[in-house]
Amino acid sequence: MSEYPGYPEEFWESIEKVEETRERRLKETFRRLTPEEKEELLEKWHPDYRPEGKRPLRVGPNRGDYVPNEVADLLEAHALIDPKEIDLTDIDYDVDVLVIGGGGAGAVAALWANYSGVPAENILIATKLRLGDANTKMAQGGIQAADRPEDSPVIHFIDIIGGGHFANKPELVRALAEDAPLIIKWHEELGLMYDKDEEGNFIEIHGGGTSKKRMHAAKDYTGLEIMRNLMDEIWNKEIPVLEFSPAVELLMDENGQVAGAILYNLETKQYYVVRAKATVLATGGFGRLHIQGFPTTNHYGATMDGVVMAYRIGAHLRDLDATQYHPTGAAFPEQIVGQLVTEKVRGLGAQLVNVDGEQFVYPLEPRDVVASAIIRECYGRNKGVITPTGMRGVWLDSPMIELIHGEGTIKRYLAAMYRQFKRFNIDITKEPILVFPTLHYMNGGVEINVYAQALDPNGNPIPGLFACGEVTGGVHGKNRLMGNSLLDVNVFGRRAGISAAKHIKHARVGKLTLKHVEKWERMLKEAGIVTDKKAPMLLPDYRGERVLSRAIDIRF
Amino acid sequence: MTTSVTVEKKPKTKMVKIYIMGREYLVPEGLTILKAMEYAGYRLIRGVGCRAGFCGACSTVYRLKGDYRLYTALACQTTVQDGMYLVQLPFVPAKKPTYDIEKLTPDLSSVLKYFPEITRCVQCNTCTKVCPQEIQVMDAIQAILRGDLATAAHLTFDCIACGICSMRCPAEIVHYHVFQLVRRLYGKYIAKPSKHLRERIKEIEEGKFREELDRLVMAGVEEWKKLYAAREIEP
Amino acid sequence: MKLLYFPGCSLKNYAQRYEKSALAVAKRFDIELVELKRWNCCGVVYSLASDSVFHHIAAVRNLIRAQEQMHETGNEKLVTLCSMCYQVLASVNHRLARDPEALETLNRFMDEEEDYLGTIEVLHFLQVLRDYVGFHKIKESLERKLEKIRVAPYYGCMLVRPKEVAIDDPEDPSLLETLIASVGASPIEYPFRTDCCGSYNVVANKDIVKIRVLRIIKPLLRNSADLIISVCPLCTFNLEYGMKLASRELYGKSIPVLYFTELLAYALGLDYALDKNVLATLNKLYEGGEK
Repeated sequence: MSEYPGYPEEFWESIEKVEETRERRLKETFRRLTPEEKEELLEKWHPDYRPEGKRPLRVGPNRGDYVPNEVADLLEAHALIDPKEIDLTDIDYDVDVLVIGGGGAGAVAALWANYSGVPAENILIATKLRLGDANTKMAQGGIQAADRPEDSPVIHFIDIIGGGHFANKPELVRALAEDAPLIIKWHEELGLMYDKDEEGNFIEIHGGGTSKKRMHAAKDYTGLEIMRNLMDEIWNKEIPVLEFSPAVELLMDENGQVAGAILYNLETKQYYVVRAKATVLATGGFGRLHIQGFPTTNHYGATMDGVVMAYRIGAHLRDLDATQYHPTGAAFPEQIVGQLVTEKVRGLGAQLVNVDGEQFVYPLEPRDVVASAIIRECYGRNKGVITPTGMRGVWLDSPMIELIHGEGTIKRYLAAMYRQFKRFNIDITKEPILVFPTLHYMNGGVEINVYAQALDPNGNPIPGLFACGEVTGGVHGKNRLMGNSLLDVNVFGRRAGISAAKHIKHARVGKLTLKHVEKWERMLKEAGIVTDKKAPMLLPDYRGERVLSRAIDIRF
Repeated sequence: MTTSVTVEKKPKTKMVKIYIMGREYLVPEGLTILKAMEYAGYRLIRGVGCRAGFCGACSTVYRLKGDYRLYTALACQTTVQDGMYLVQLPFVPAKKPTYDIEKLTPDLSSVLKYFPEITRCVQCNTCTKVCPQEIQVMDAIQAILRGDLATAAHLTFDCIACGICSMRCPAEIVHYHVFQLVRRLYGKYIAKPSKHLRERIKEIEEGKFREELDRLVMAGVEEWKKLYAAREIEP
Repeated sequence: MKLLYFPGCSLKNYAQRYEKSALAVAKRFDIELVELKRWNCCGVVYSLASDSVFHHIAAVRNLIRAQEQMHETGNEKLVTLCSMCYQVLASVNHRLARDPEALETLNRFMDEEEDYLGTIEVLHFLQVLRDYVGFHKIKESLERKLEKIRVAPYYGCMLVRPKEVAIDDPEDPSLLETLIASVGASPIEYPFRTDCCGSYNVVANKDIVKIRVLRIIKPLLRNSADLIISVCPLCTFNLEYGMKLASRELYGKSIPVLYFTELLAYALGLDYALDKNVLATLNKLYEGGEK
């Protein structure tokens, strides 16, 4: 029997089977599911449908809506701060535009506010960790844009809305598809190194759910390439950034406008009062909530802070019942469980196969379908591989890529994936990758319009509040397609920046208040909610059990 | 069906001894340095970011038992070893110079204008040795010095700006800032622009798709379902 | 035959025409110059400091690159075109062969590389022409006999000093004269053919170069030579600088400065490998230009 030193011996038999079936499978395409089959698969196997996983909200603008338990815990929690301890008359930063979140959406918003005429010194980016520490940087496979003659924004629109189960807000979908080529052009002008051939044509491939090849990639470091260029421009324009200073509460004024935020310096424990004429929420997703106990692809700070803060001031949320589990999170080795294995691997031809080396789903169905199929394969049909720690997974047959596109393809176009597994002695050009769904994307969030204004339950813009990126809901409906999130942060980040710049021309901020926090506490009481939870969560806590049981807070 | 994400191990797990900033801790075998620090009680603020090897926040420097050599790693992607003697690099002091990419030319002179110190490179190769992404860092600096920006752009593509190279460089070069400039010069001026992109943007500006998109936005779920089912999928 | 080839920085920039003509000449004699897959600056100036091995690192790393790739050519030879690169690589190689302690120190320090075993043989392209092609072969392969052309050979210093690495007699070399004769042209005698051109002083101390180069070329401008051939990009740069000065300030005239490989390529009919203006210059001389 062949040996695969990076994998435990109990896997070797299965890997051999994968190798035996490979030749035959190169010529096979698994049948796509009908809409009815998809419905059934999702209902039975997608984690969103498990009744124990969710409950209806008992308070706030979305009262009665079902959301995951972990989300409800945060949305029904107390504020972190006590308004009595905050002196709102002593303003630390007085700016035109406050951007909360230093990832892709925040950076794009800040840059476009600047391009639209807001001087750099009147913009402030507040970020929880460092500038650029966000899910954006971790995105791998690509960004969608319909720029080839065989493709069009119309076709892109249909792909997006179908992938989202027709629940998307159509005008947002239109904006996403129509603005896409413009975003790519902006990137080209900034100097981004997208994969291109010698003539300068982008190398574009399929993603899950796309009908045309329109995924622009920078190897499998697409998000990194986008984010680091945006960061370079933020620094070149000298837009001020406050790092390690997450927002813990939005500020209002007496006229019901959003007027800035309270920031908290994680290192010095000092709070800052930031008054702003326009506030842009760009706080990203919620992976670190580990919904239903899933591991996650998200960065350390993905704790849906923006959704919590916006909810408290009356913003309308949507589609939070739709959680995206990326079908292929690493399932082995244990050190990297949950980390992203880009869809690009499937885009380049790798098939998903079970413990017997047989296909069980078309690899480029939309993500919710593939994720459900993998869960069914492992837990329904018991055809998964079981790791020494009890984790289950299926094989993603990456060696096929070398056979289809030629030796060296993986090292060139999947450099990050090759490196990630090589660190643990697994050579993905020769050995398949073990995968299982992992918590990946917050499909829903704060509802916005095409101007990236946050909306209240009546669909009216909340004055002074804008939102863009993963924190928002409505763009992707119930399920986002690959490559549309990197697009989302750019398209709506840009719109938020432009809208904010327009807004500040006539905005007048009144007296600052935290009355909404007191109101919130009353609302919790009235709804009969008893909890010791506080939100936003800011950071997850992974400290060992022993330490936690002995940790005390001493003021010295 | 849930997957556990805590690092709680059953009793009788094999433990290893590591030293975090000189202090000894017993941690379960098989943890990454990052998770081991958390197990030991650190709730990290600096030195942690994406936890997946893409952001360069968790640069770690360490030695091993009985070995004089200095090793470098990303804490989130490296398993602990018994006797590991480690510290994290929470920050690299290197404010980058500001420039306007529109005003630069894609050659050595632009790079030297902002980073004249790259001429101090003595080719010691320390930068290459410590890079956790296995980039040929010195080769890239040398390529730039030869005026070959394209080679340097491709060689340094996988750089996550962790900064370990810059902290160790005797010539005090801040490689990742240099490389970011070089890559932008390549992407903007040396790589060819896309023809199709410009054509498509022209079409959009001229309103070629406006009517159809207007109609689609108003079309409604039934119509969208039909169109979605009728899509022609490019092979 | 295949020979590993170390280009050096100037061959990829200022002296691209030297590389172009050399590759063509080599090809003509069935020699494939295989460029090292990875190489860096040879280290030049500071690499020759003898009091510390640290300065040899750049050179040795390139020798290791050759060592890594020598299975491709089946021999341990590394060819250079630039005479300064030749001098650096050959000198470092020579020193380490006689100083095993220094070699050991370097190998221990460069622990990310395989050990350098000291067996690479560094050659200049002129040696390849002399020892592996042979002047008789060159004579037999001429497309043009450059009978009417008077060529002054300029050796400079890097190829002929110190004697441990010199490719010819340091006092009285004859390699270039033989080469010139083999293409049918007339080699010109003049006193300063092995005098230093001033080298890097052209950057910060131009006067030194001015004095030296003018002295070298003055005798040639008294109507005794049609062109001067060089073996090094830096010498070429300095000589061309001198010719500009000569033309403007001294005699109102100058003569062309070419790489020896360009002269050779022209004689072998390899016009495709020559820059347009070089070809025009040689055509004029060949077809009986000014005397």
